[in-house]
Amino acid sequence: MVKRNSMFDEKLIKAEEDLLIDFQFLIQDLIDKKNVSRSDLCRRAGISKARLSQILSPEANPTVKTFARLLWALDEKLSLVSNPIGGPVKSSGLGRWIQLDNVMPDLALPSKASIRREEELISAFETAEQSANDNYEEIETFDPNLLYDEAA
Amino acid sequence: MRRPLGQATAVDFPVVSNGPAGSVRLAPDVFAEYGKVCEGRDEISTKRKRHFERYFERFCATHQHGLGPEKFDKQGDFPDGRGSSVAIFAFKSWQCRIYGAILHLGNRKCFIGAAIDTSKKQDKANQRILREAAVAIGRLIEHQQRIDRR
Repeated sequence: MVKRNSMFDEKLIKAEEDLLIDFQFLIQDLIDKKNVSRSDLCRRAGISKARLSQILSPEANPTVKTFARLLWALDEKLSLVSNPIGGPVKSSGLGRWIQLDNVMPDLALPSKASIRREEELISAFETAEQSANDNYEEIETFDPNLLYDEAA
Repeated sequence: MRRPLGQATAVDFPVVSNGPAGSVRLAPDVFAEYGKVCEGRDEISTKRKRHFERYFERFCATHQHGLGPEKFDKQGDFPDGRGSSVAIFAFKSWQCRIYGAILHLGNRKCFIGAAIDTSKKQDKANQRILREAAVAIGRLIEHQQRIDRR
């Protein structure tokens, strides 16, 4: 058990939660991409569905071994890459310091070319966002016929 | 004093996240309550806020957000008070739920948070709050339609 410093440290808490969320997003992405049912994953990992749900919940604090078990059940293995805080981040846009050995193209650490592409995309998005903000009054109308049902 | 959503349009709502695929907006009273439960200088508030931020970012980044039911889940279809029904979804983080609907603004999806439950202790949603959220979304759409017809 980690003894927490009595002084409130927002950056430390965010760092902890970010790593948890990155892991959870990674597991969810693998479930979706591999089209594995939760039942199958739980059976392979030897955990209950309720336990999996708890692991993927905001309040979770699963062990590293639990994640290794889930990745193993998904036929995956992690390599970890750290980045200095505040320095340039080698990012795939998903797990910021996560690299999979069993490489899936958009989950692996990117090449220099793909980092350039990502930077270009971010720049293009920022330009588009600024343009959208400038024109919000014009574009923002509700069309009830276009109600979007995510579950459909 | 709760401001009726029927007197507001989406442009009145604060944008809490924006991305290539969509945005997240909260009704003013929901935004105020969201601020209260996320801005505290304590561990739970910080965690709650960070999870919501990351979930919103991901929702806005891609059409297939891949958040999973533990973080974002459909609560069901509820009457919107106009003779129709609306699908209500919830973002979930640390005993707090933000209920709303996904609408299209322009060519992008937009989650409109219409209600918030900050006392969530069990996974079962408060049905009264869900019904209120659906009616609020209905009023919002109706008001926008009136404006569009002018």
